[in-house]
Amino acid sequence: MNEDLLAGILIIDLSQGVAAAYCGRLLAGCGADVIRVERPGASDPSHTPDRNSHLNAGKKGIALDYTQPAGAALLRRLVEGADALIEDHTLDHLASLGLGYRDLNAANPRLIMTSVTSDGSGDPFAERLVGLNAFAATLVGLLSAAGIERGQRVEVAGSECLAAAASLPGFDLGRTPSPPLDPSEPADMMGVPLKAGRAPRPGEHNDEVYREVLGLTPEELLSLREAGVV
Amino acid sequence: MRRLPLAAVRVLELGAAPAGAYCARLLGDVGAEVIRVEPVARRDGPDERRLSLHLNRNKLGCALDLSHPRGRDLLLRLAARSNVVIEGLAGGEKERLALTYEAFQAARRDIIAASVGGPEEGESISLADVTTGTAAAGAVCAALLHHRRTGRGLRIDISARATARTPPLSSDPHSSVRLPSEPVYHPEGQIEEMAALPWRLSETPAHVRLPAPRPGEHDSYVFGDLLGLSSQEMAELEREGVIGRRDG
Repeated sequence: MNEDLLAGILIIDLSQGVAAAYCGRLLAGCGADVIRVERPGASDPSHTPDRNSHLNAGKKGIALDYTQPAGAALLRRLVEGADALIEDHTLDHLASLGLGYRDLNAANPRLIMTSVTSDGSGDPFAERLVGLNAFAATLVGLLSAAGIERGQRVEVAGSECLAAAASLPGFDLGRTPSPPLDPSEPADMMGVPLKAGRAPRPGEHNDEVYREVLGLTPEELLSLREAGVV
Repeated sequence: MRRLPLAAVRVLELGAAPAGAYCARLLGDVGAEVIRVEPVARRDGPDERRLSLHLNRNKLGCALDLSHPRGRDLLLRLAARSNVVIEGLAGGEKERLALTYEAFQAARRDIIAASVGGPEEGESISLADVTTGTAAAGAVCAALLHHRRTGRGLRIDISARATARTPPLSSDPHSSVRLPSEPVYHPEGQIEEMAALPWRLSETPAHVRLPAPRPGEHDSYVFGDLLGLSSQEMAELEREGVIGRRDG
């Protein structure tokens, strides 16, 4: 199909777990510009190197400590120009950093903020289903933004995604083949080819994003670097 | 009522196996007008019917014989008035009926045509059907965003892929989950508790607006209002078995 279905759409990816990262990867695979924001030094136990290359393929990567006020301010500036933000933080954590839906909506009233709560099982089949739901729900939010002329919060409850499927009469776990989530998986989505790409190295796109997208001067960047924010 | 995200989108669903039906349901849940085209003569068993109540909520239904030249013609006229076609015709049917992407594109230049494969329609649905249907719904939404910017349609081919591996799901994955649901009242009398969409949209919450259609329930809206057939023409097509349910 078409590599550039979502060309020109900017997504901020704060994912920590598998389902939200998979959602960002699918959006990148459809041609969206996905900026993955990682905190310097933070490593996510759910992302083994193999999984990282699969889950973050085609994204840009920046290192930003948004737990510091200066880092949170930079993230809000990034959000001003974004169409959607994907996150899977625990309840109220982002709000305590000044990055809750209210703060982000004030920075960008048209933003779609997709919050994913994982079902916690770590089961790759469940994670895939949750990620696919977050992918579809984010796109539905983006479609609605034009109609209602504002953004909204989209919550995808991981535990409900599987339960909703299982509640269908005749749901048959016995005949439940589904491809595993592993790095050998072909780069497509049930037959729809995804745009190719590799996972970014930590902070690989710092310069591009901070200087070209946010327009920081070399002096500003240096002082942020010295403060350990970027 | 608040304007739902897909309020201005019309989706035509035909020959859809569970994956395609699930995809169309998701689109209907968030506001698309989904018209499900069913065969004129089919008898569902009770289990099949019960699954159909869930899979076909928020849809309109009409009955049409696609193997009849006039039925095929009516379908393509409906496609011309739709933004999206979701097709799950069984292997070979698509070619036999000449309902290919090219045929839909000839009916409407900017159509989004999704071919959603998977096992035949039946009384059961698998996790692969649900993941495939969800992926297809996402792909259709991406295609709709693309259409808004470029004015161009495209084709999507999605199929439920089977692998030999069995997922490590224990016997009852939903036992511990409090699942939001809402009761849906059917004209035939039954009340069915249905799982809500597992997404919450803060500004445009989805809900069940329509129960699953009875056979041919919306024939007069689809053939009369949308396609402009007169009641005489409709009666004639019904006599010929092109539209309408013969078995009730």
